[in-house]
Amino acid sequence: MIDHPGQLHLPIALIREPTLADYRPGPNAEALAAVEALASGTGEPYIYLFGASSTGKTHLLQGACQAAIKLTRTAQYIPLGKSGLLPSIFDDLETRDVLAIDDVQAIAGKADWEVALFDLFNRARAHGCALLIAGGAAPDALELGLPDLCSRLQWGPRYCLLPLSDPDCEQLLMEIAAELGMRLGQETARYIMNNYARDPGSLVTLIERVDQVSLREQRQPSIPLVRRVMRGEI
Amino acid sequence: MGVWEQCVRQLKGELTSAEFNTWILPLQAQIDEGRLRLFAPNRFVLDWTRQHYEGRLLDLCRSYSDGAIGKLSFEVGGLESKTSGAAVHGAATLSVDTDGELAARRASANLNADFTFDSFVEGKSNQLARAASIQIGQNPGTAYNPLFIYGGVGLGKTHLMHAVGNIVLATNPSARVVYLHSERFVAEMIKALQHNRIDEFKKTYRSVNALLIDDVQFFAGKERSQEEFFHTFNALFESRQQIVLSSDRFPKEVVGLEERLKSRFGWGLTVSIEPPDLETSVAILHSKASLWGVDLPEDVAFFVGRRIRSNIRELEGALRRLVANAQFTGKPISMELAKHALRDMLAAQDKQVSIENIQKTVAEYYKLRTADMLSAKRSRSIARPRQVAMALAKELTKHSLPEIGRAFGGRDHTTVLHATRTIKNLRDSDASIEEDYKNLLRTLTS
Repeated sequence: MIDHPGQLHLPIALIREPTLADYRPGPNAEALAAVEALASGTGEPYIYLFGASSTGKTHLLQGACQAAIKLTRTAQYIPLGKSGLLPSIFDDLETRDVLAIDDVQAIAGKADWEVALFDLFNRARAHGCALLIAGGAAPDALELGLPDLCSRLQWGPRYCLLPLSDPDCEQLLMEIAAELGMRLGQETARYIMNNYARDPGSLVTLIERVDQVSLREQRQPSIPLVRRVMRGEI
Repeated sequence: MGVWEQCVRQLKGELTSAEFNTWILPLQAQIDEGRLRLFAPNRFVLDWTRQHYEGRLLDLCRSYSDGAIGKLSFEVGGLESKTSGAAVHGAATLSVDTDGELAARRASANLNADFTFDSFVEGKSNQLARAASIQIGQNPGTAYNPLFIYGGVGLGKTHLMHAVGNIVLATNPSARVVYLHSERFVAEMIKALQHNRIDEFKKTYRSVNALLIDDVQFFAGKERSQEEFFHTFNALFESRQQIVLSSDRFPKEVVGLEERLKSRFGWGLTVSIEPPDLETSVAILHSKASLWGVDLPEDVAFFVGRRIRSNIRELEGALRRLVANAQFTGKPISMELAKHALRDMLAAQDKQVSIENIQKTVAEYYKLRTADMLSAKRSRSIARPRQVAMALAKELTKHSLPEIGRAFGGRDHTTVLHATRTIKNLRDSDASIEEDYKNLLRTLTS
């Protein structure tokens, strides 16, 4: 048993909170503004977000919950893609101020889940609970079995999130490196952009891995070191 | 910082953000005589949190309270009631009603005050349903009983049912009215059975003056619920109380419903709602815009009405997106703004541009074969379009440069880099290349 706070394990890696303030909007500034307003109770009662992976849907949903709770509102995040969940997770959730439901495509074609979400949607609207739902595609492209659910998902404004541009990604790379206390040269950053997946999630994961190796080996994050990390050699 | 806040901060570092936001962040806490009481929104969240995090939470509590807190309890519920969320719709809309008592009765009847006959836009597709509903609302239990409204999703059935309930209450504030979705009827019945309160449940629903049950097709296959609803129906019908039902199809066509229910559903008046024609869609858009105090130009209303034909909810969704975009950009609503704001919606689906699609489109544009894009040929007439395609692949996809190079006949990433730089320079200096590039970009993204 741990007896003193000072003895508690703290992970070495930086704790990366998905807050709305940390979201790099790029071409998605309007979506960010809409989500901020929903979280604070001043915006739309329902918003649907969709788009390819690594465009920040999960970040916005979790950030909305954190923002709502900071304002002493109640919020619940539900990642439907997670295994082990049952439709009863939706019970009584209309009592929350904000509900953020992620990966709605995971329940497409599952009749019990679709009816449960449809029922939650109705209860949420009746009780003034704001809904933020995200999926991999627009509602009519989700292949839902329940048309009633599809039409409800179409009820509010929907935002197709777009990926960050290369300069934005490069800027993000430099900033994350700086946060980690690592000096990442422009050339190394450019090398990563030219040779690695160009989405924020992959880049952040890579740069954190580079940081760990750089610390362990007591070496600067040079192109050769980055190349070895990218190849999985270290 | 309190003990719970310290626990939360610690767990934020230990768990993934998904785990933290799903199971820890929503909990509410209260310290009560050496015990930390944790409130979860429902039984599932409570059970999951207890199963996965109870031990760690207890350790942290003891640690951060220097042993003062030695117990942990989990409860379903919360510390505070809902706050500003209700300001947008639902219950809050009732608060604008000057008659507080009527507002309270509407709320207990599950009625939305916004759904009235005044706010329901009439068109050819729904005029019979609207007229019948008004008559029912003005003469409950005596005109048509039951009134059965059927039609596709998002066409206004729920709106009419609420409007009936609202007018019944407005005419007779002491009337007992209940609007309920059939799923809730089933859920409440199950809850009543579980808690030995079925007699109370029966009494509640058999003693109302108007029962409005939405989407009765959800009763399909639920025999116990159908039986209970059958008796509720009979009790209300015999005492001449109003019943209004809705479904996505004609009563006889609802699969999984008992024949005795289907026949009863057809005893009164059955009316359909069809999808709105263009003029009605435009009128609905104007009505919503006026309600929100938004100036919607006629050409934009027709543009949206023509393009979004599936149902009224989607139409409203499009208008909300349009209004949000106008507010965000600070520009008035115009055709240009509408086309930009609704481009995701108007596209059949979020079109993912692939490298293959880019190669094919560029080859067609320059009247080449797709195979030329991948070949080793270096003549200007082939190399330039190939460079354009590579630049487009970098701009429109998230593939890495090595991946793009491989897709163009196994070329090196430096070739892709060179191609994108060359095209960037040429676009600045050669108007024809700039025009080609813009045309291709438009073709691939429209």
